[in-house]
Amino acid sequence: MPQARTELLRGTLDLLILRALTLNRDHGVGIARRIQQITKGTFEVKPGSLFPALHRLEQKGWLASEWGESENLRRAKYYKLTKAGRKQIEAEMANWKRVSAAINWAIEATSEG
Amino acid sequence: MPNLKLLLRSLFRKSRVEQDLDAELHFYLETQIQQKMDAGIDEPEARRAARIELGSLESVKDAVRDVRMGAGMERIWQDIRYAVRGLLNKPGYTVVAVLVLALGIGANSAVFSLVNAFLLKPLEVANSSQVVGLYSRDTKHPGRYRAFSYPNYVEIRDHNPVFSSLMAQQLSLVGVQKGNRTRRIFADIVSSNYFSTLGVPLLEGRSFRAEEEKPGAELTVIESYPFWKRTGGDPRILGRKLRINGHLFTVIGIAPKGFTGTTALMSPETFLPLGAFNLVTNDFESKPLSARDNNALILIGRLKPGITQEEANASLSVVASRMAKEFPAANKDQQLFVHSLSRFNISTDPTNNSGMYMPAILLMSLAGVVLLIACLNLANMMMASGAARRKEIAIRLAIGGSRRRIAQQLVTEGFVLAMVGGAAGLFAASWSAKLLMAAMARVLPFGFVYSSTPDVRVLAGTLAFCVASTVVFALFPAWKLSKPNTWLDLKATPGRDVNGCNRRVFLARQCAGNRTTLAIAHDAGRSRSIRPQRLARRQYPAWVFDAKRSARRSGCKSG
Repeated sequence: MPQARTELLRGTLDLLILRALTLNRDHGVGIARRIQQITKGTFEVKPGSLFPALHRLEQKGWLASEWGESENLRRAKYYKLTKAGRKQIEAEMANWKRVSAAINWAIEATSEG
Repeated sequence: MPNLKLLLRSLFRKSRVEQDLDAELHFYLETQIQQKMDAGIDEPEARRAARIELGSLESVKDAVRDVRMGAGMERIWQDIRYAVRGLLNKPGYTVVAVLVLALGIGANSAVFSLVNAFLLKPLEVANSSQVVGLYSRDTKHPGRYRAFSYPNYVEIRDHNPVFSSLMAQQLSLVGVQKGNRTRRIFADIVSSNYFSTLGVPLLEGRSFRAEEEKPGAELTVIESYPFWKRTGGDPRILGRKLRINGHLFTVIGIAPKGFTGTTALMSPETFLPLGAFNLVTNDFESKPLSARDNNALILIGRLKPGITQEEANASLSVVASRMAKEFPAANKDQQLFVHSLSRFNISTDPTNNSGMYMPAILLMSLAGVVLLIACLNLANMMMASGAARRKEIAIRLAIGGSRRRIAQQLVTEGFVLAMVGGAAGLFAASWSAKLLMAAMARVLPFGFVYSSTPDVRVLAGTLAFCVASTVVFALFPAWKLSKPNTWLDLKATPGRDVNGCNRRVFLARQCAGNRTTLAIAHDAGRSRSIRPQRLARRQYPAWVFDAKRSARRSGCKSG
C-alpha cells in the first residue's frame, strides 16, 4: 500500500464528491475514479469513507440516487446532484478557498519568521 | 422535507435498505476485480487484491449505517437490548435492584398521587376557572367575613349582572341510621341549582326542585357515588328511603363518579335540599333559614363567560350598596367580592391552596429522601458489579471504544432497571394508596374520592422519578467505571480471554449487540451479530481507514 497517502479534512471529501458529479451521474466506483482523476491522482478515496459520505450527502438532500445499468451491464446505484447539491458546491468551494488561503498565510508566516 | 422518506425507509424498510447497500458494495467489489483482471492479473489474485483494498465489507457497511438517519435511535435500541440481556444474566442483582427501586420510586409515586389528587387534578366541574366563591366582608372590620342569609342569597341570585348561576350550600354533620346503628357523615345542604351551577350531570335520577328549597316540601336526598357504592350500590336505589337525623328522606339521585363537590379528594357523602336545613342542622338558636339575619349559607357562582373577577367585583359593589339601602339593618357596611375557590375547604372567608403546599412539599421530600437512600445503595451495588466487569470495560476501551459510548451503555442499563423498578413501584403505590384510603374511609365521616389508577400526571411524575434516580445511581458509577485508565486492569490480570484461543467467543459474548469496538476486522467480518467497526472507525477518524493497519495497532493478529 502506498505510504504517501494524503489524508483529507472531512468536508473536503464532500466537496470532491460534489465536484465529481457536476457533469454526469455516476456510481461509487466511477466517483472514486473521477476524484482520482480530477485531483491528478493525489486522492484515492477508500470505500470505507466513500460510501458513508455518499449516503450522508444523500440524507442531506444534495445527492439523489437511482438504480441503473453500468457500462459492464450490471445493476449499479447511480448518484446525481440535486438542485440543493449544486448550490452546496458554491458554498463548499467558498469555504475551501477561505481555508486554503488561511493555511497558505500560516505557512508563509512561519517561513518568514 | 425530502429526508423524511429516507428516515422512514431506513427505519421501516430495513431489509430492503440493507439489500440495496449490499448490492451497491458488491458492484464496487466486482468492478474493482474486473479492473484488475483487465490489467492482466488472473482472477484469484485480482479477487484477493480487491478484497484487501476494500477491507472488511462489514466495516464499510457499518460506517454507512452510522450516517443513516435513525442511527441514534437504533443505537439506543441496541443498548436497551444489551442491557436487558445483561440484566437477565444476573437475576439476583436485577431482582434486588428492582425491589430497592420499586420501594423508593413507589413511595414517591404514592405520595405524588396523593399530592396530585389534592393539589393538581382538576375538579370534576365544568370550566372550573369560571367557578368562584362569593364573599361578604365587613367594610368597618376588614378581617371579618360572614356567610349569607337565604333571602340575601335569593336577592343576589336573581338580581346580579355577573353570575350565570349562583348556588348556596352549607356543610353539616348528620346521622344516618341503618337498623340500630347511626353513622355520622358530612352532608352538603345545597340550593336546587347546585349541580347545574357546577355543570355536573347526575349519574342517576333528578336534581332538586326549586320548591324543595322551602321547609315543608318532600324530604329528598342525592347520594354521592362513594356513599351509594359503600351502602350496597343498589341499582334500584331511586325512591328508597334513607333515615337521616330521624327523618325519612327519599333518594332521588346519585352524583357522578369522581365528583367531589367544590373541594378536592374529599366529598360530602350526601346532598340535601335547603328545605331540610332546619331539620338537619343542630342549630340551637333555631332561627329559620328564611330569616334575613340568619347568615348560614356559603355562595358559589359561575361567572358569565368573558367576565373577569375584577369586573365582577366592580359590578358587585353596586349590588351591595343597593342591598344596604333596601335592608340597612342586615346589610350595611358589607362589601361583596369574588375569589377563586380553595380546593380544601368551604368557608366564609376566601382562602387559597398555599396552606397545603407546605405539607405536600414536606411529604414529597420525605419520600425523596427514601429514594435518595435507595439510589445511593444502588450506586454502591453498581460499583461493586462494575468492578466485576472491569475487564469487559477495559477490553472495550483498549480496542477503541469511546468512554462516552461505554458510559452511555451503563447508564442505559441503569435506566432499564429504573423503568422496571418504576413500573413495580407504581403498581405497589396504587395498591397501597388504595388500601390506605379504604382504611381511612371506614373511620372518617366523609367520602374519599380517590382513584388509584394513575392518571397522566402520576405517570409523568413516576417517569421523572425514574429519570432522576437513574441520574443519581447510574451516572456516577458509569462515569467512574468507564474511566480510560481502567485499561491498566488488562495488564494487571492477563487472562485467557485477552490472548487465549477462545478470544472470539468471549468477545462475541461481551460485544454482541453492543457494538463495542473491535478493530479485529476479520473476526468481526465473520459474524454479522458483531458490529464493532463503528467505534473503531470513530477512534480513527481519518477517512482513509485501513482495518488491517488498525488491527495491527491494537496488537491483535488478524487472521
